[in-house]
Amino acid sequence: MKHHIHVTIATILAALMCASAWAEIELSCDSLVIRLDEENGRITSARIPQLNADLALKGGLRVTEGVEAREITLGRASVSGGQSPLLRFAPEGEELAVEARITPRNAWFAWEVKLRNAADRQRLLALSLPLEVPGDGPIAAYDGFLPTEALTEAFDGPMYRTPIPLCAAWSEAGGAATGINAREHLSFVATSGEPLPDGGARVATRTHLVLDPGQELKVELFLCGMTGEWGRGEALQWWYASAPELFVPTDGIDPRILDASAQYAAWQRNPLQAEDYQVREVARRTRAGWDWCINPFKRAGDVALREEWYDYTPANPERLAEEDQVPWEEYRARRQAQFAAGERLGVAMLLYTPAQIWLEEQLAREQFADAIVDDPSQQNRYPNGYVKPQDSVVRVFPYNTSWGEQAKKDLADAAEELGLYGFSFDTAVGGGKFRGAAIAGLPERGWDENGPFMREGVAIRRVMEYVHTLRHEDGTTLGIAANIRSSADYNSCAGSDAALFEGQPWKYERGTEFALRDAIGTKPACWWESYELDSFVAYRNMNRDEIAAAYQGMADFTAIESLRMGFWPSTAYSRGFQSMTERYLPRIDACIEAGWQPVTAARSDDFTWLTRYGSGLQTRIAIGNETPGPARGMLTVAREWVWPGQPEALVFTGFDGSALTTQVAEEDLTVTDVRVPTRSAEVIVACAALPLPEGSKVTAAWAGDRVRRTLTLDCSLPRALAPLATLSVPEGMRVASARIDGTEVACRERDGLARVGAEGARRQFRIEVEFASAIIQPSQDELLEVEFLFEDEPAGYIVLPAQPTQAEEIAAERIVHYFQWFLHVERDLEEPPAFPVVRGEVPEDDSLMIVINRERAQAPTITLPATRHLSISAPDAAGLEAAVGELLAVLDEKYVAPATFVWRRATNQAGLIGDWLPDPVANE
Amino acid sequence: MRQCSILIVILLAAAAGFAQPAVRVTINTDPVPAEVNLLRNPGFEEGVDETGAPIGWQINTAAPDDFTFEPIGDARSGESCWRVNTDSPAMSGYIQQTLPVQDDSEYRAWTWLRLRGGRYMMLLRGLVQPPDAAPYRFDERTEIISSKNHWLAPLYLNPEHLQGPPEDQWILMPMTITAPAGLGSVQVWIGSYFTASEMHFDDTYFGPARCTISLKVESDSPIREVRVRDLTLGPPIFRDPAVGAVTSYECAVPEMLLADAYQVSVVTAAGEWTELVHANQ
Repeated sequence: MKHHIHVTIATILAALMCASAWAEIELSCDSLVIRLDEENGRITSARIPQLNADLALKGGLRVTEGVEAREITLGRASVSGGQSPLLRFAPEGEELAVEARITPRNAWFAWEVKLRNAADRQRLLALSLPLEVPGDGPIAAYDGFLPTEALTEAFDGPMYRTPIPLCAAWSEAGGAATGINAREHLSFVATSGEPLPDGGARVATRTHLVLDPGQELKVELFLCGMTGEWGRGEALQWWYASAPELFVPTDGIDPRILDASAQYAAWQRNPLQAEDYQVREVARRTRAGWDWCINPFKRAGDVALREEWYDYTPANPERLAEEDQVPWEEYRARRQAQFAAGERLGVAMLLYTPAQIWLEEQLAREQFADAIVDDPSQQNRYPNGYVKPQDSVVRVFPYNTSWGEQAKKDLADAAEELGLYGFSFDTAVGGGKFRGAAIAGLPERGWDENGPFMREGVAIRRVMEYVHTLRHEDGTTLGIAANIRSSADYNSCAGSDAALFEGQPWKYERGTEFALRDAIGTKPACWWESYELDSFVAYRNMNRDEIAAAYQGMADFTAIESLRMGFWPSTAYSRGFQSMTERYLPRIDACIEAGWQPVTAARSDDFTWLTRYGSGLQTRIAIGNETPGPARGMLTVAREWVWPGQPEALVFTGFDGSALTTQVAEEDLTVTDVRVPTRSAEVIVACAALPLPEGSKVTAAWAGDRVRRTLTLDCSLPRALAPLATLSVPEGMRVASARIDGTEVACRERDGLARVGAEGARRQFRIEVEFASAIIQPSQDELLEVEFLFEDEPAGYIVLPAQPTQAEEIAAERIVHYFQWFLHVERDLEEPPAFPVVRGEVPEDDSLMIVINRERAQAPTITLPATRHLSISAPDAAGLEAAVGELLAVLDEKYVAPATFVWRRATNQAGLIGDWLPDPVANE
Repeated sequence: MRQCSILIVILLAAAAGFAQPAVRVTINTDPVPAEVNLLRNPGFEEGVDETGAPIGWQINTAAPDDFTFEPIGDARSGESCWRVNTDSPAMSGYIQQTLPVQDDSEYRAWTWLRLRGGRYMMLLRGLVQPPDAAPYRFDERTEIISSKNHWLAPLYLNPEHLQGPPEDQWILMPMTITAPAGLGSVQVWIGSYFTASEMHFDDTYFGPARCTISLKVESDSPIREVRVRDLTLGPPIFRDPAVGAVTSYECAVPEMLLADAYQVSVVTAAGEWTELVHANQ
């Protein structure tokens, strides 16, 4: 009997254990481990791996129907197992099939949800993956727009400001984020959150979907864990990683689109009388790569400048500008010349369109009536002056309508005609709603209290995607800079390659621009407008020094904020300030190129703020000092976030090469003796990576100049190891020599990295790697000793081949313009003389000869065969462009001539026009 | 001692040469603004309603949590004036009233404003529905900016140089419109436009634009010229260049812009005198 009872009990226990083991599924990704109830597919608990701690997270799919949000009870889930379990729901009586395949991907989960409408009526459904994140009280939350330190009140969008489809909550004990993969083209996104009675918060990202009878839709939801240490940045980091191509510029576009904007220096010429050399040099010195070629058409929205549309009677003919009152042929020829001129001066001329959503009213009503938008929440018509002064315009929908097809054709035709490298999209916020017949059946539809609609942002994104299929004749993919502000629809942000923020750095409450930064990921953005100093200070009562000081203060803030946010100052902010063109813009350039990172992964009590750019050996950390005195201190860098999975320790120097010491611990690197001048920002850069034990210290410093420089690493270890280091090779340079403790060693160079090592374990060692310019062979001193100018005249000739290519002509022109600019700015010559350019034989003369491609070298090369003979050669146009660029960058060390102030009320008052202000920091 | 006396006399004579002539100006308008003001509770003396708005007004902002709307003391007249404050430039915030208007009629609106930072704006808005044309929006505005509370100071900008009217001074901000046929009603909005702001309103007005000004000038020295300016216009709205060297001058001028105060300049034999003269006092 006893034996029989034991067997029975054991059997029962075994059955229970099997049942409990079978009733839960555990899934892991790098940021989160979740356990799902197999009966209903709901999350019952979680664990944050990095914290090695459980998190009482709860959540699960939620589907509601209609405006009243009727809950659809999903009921039991049928689960097919494996690494990516599939949950199937057949909600009773709902005529709706719901599936979710949960796939762990690196550091997040993809919930691929499929909904199928089996009913014979259209369904308006809302889908979300709400989470309940525990906490001891109110916890931090992120609504897809801005973070809140402690959520005490409920929120439910959409609000006047549009969130990205991501919502998160966290505390020191960890947290989680729920969202939607940015690859989805969704018309309705809302985030919601509320504090829980026992502490913590419930958060959700919701989308509204329209399913016609029999229609099936798929949406990929997003879920990740958070340690809570780095706030919303953690959620953003993994959300970006779930669709990485949307948060970096499109592959293959012209890199100039990622630079600062010339802000009409090239397009309309600001100032109007600017000479070619002024445009070229101002653009170069302010790192301006593209221009916003606004209104390049007579009729609003006619980007292709169609002859059949050109002659018409506008709504306000008295407002038609004189320059638009010319025949079509003349207008077209003039436009072509303007675009060609800007391009020749080195600026990518991005043809302007109001995101293809505004069109001259008569044209729209006559030919594209099916696309006209009537959204009471938006302005749908302007009687005059919105795009072109003479035109009334209406809002049109550029997707799946007659205008949608025309819009694409117009962009393609304009691109081909003008040889464009891209477009500038204005009015791309994308908030409007379109309910026309063209949206029938489209999967991108959303709905609101008035029924189905399609979001303008989705249509703009589709147009942007089309642009990315276009190619310049040289194979470059066309790109887009878009005016998308802080409250743009996430679709517009996903489709852009660079953003224009239509405002100054002080326009909004400080920090709200992070909403734009979050939405565009690592892509660059630029400030617009200008200082408008006269709206801040009573300049009429101020003298020159006071006005200059006010301008310098605002320039310093602009530069500081640019480094904090990863934004470019456009040309209007940079011109007039040596601090901008020579100190800040190179740092901003390096940071933007490395790419803004949402997880700062660095801390300090000694500075105002830190922002991280890049990862691994591309890491740059911008450091702000917004105090009235110099700041000095240290910062700690979290190794696992900055270079995940890599055992080597990164070592840092100042951006200017100044020495910094990095101390190695298991989880952190501590960088000491960091200095930031008064009211300023600095950047430190990762220069090398070494396998170092905890307790090691490395002092790294650069010495030298642009043509030849040496990185020295002085290493001190707690135990002996053989020296080994990987270094980042500066762009445009190559390894010239390497020594460890004074002994020459081999150096392997590949893919921008150099690796050096030596045998023999030691506790102290010095690594010295010398880099030399890959293009310039003489030393920098030798190059700067060349006498390019004699008094105020060019000291020789530029010599081209007898039949030069256009690239060779432009190379000569760049050098001509360079010295004309210097003579104009620094020698006050209104009509500065130009270097004479000779084609063919080298003149028999003892003047300086700058000889271009006398023999085309196999690689870009600059040599100095004699003190009065400079040779530039390259095998192709790109090489020649790089060689001349490098030459001018070196010459900037001697021919100091920053971009100058233009007319403004305050600069006029102060007598600053044509001048520039010396860098207060460099001159301390 | 004698040299000191001579010096004092010279200094006094020099001072007399630069001294303003003694001039007394009074302006009365017919009608008086208070008689024809269409606004309810224009001076904010009637308290607040359950929404926190001044009686007769509505609060208009999409971000109420970012704003403080409240009555305060230290008014220009009476016990109360109205305060609008926000630390956020993310949204605008106004108080508003909707008032009927007659077709093709001229109206004046003003606020007395004490601006301690930010961007004040008055908007007069409505929807025009002409009988034989498409409707369009009516939108006229006036504004003034003060940077005196801007957070760029003191680190980036010297506070002494910041622009804006004196922080403790009441200034008159008038505007004039002609109501087009089909407007029917106009919304009067006053408030803060997308800047961090601290501003106070008192003695507001919306009503007929024209009046007869009765002007009286008395001077210790003969009057040569009298000019009257409205605060919105550059050129004078009234000018008498040939007064006739009298020491007492009176006139009545019809069809003048109605206001609470005018800029009056009087040229006398002793020099020019200019002052803001409050009407009907």
